[in-house]
Amino acid sequence: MKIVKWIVAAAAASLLAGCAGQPEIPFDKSANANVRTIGIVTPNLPDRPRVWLASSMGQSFGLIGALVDVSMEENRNDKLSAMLRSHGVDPKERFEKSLEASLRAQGYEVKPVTVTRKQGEPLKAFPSTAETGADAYLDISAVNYGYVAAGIGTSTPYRPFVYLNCKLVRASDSSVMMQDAIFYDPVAPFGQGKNVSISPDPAYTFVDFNTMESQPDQVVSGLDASVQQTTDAVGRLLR
Amino acid sequence: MQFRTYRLAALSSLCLLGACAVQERPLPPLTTLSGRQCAASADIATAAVLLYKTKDETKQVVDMADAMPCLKTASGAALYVVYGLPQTDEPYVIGVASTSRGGTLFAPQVMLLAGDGSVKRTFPGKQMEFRGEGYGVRIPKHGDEAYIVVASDPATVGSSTSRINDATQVTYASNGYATYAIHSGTESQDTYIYAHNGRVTVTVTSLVPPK
Repeated sequence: MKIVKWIVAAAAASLLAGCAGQPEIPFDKSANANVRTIGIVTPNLPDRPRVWLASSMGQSFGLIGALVDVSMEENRNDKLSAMLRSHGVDPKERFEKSLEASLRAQGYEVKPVTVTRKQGEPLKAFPSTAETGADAYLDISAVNYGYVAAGIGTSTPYRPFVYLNCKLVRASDSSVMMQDAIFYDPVAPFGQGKNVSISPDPAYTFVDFNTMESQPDQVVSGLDASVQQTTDAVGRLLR
Repeated sequence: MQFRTYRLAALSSLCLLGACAVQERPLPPLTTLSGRQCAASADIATAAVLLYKTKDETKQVVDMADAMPCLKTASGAALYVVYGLPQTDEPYVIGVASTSRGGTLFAPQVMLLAGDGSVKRTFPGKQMEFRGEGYGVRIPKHGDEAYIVVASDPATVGSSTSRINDATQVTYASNGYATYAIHSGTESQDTYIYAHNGRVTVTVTSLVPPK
C-alpha cells in the first residue's frame, strides 16, 4: 500500500515538473476585456498537505531507503493533518475561498464550478457557457502544498510551500488564454524556469518537525499565509 | 614523463577555467542619476530590432550602466534601452528579466511604443515578478506596437528585497568498490538592491504551437 502511495507521489511530482515545462502564456487583459466572470473549476488539490523532506539519507539507499522515507513522511503527514483538524481547518476549503477572494480583488466575478476529476491531471473538457454563465474557466491543477525542508539539519528548516499549475481557458471554445505555474518556496530544481517564484515568508520557519508539532497555531498560520500569497499571485496573472 | 606533463597542464587549465566560471565581479548599485540631462522621449532611431524565430526563443542581453541614455519617466530620470519589435503576424511574447550581479538587481519598467513613438502600454515596476532567477514581466505583443523601451524604475531603485533560496543537490562518492549518490539540501538568504544598473535580458518567444 505504501509502495502505491510512493509511486503516486512520484508520479504527481513528475507530472508537476512536466506541466511546469509547458510554455507560459501571459494573459492579455486589454485584448480580453469581455472576460468578466470566471468559473473556478474544482481545483485539483490533494486531500491533505505534505510534510516533505526534499533530500534525505533514505534517497541514497535505493528502494529500501525510499520506503523508509515514505513511511516517515506518512507519519509527518498524519500529524499535520491532525493538527489542522484540531484547529477546524479544511485546507481545500481554505484554498478555494482564498482563490475566489484573489480573483475578486482583481475585479472579476467568480463562480465556483464543481467538476469531478482525476488527481494530478489537468481538466480535458470544460462545461458549456450555457451551463455556468462564465466567460472563462480557471483550472488549477497539479497542486502540491504543505511544508518542505530542503534537507536534514537546522540550516534547512521546514517552511510552507505551494506549487501549482494554472490555466485560463475561454468558455466558448476552450482556447488557452493564460498558462503558467507558481512556486511558493521553490526548492531547486523546482521553480528554476520562467514560472512565478515566491520567496517564503521568514515568519514561518521551523528548524525541525518537532518544532512544528510544538507550534500548531503558527503552523496553521503559515499554511494560510502561503496559500493566500500563492492565490494572490494567480490573481496577478489575470490583471 | 610526457604523460605527467600533459596531465599537469590539463589540470591547471581546468583550475583556471573553474576560477573563471565562478567569479563575476560584483557590481556596485547605481541608485541616483542626479546631474543627468534626460530626454523627454526614447530615441527610437537608434533601436536595434529583436529577432523572431518560430521554433526558438531569441534573446538580447544588455548590461545597463551609467553611460546608457536616460529618459524622463513619470517616476523620475531613468536609464533605458530601446528595441524594435519583430513585425510578424505570428503571436509572440516579449519577456524582460533582470538577474542579479553580485546583489545588484536592475529595477525594470517597460513601455511599448507605436511606430510613431507614442506610448501604447506601460508596465511599471510594481508589476514585476520574480520568475526563476529573473525579475521582470512577460507581455503578449499587440499588432499596433513597434518598439519596446526597457527603463529603470526610479520608484523602485534604492529599495531592497531579501529572498530565501532552497535547493537540493546530488553528489557522488566512491569507496573503491561502489559509487554512492549522496542527496543533500541547502538554504541561503540573498539580499538584492534595486538599481538603475545591472543585467537585463529581453526575449522573444513564439506562441505558435509546435507541429
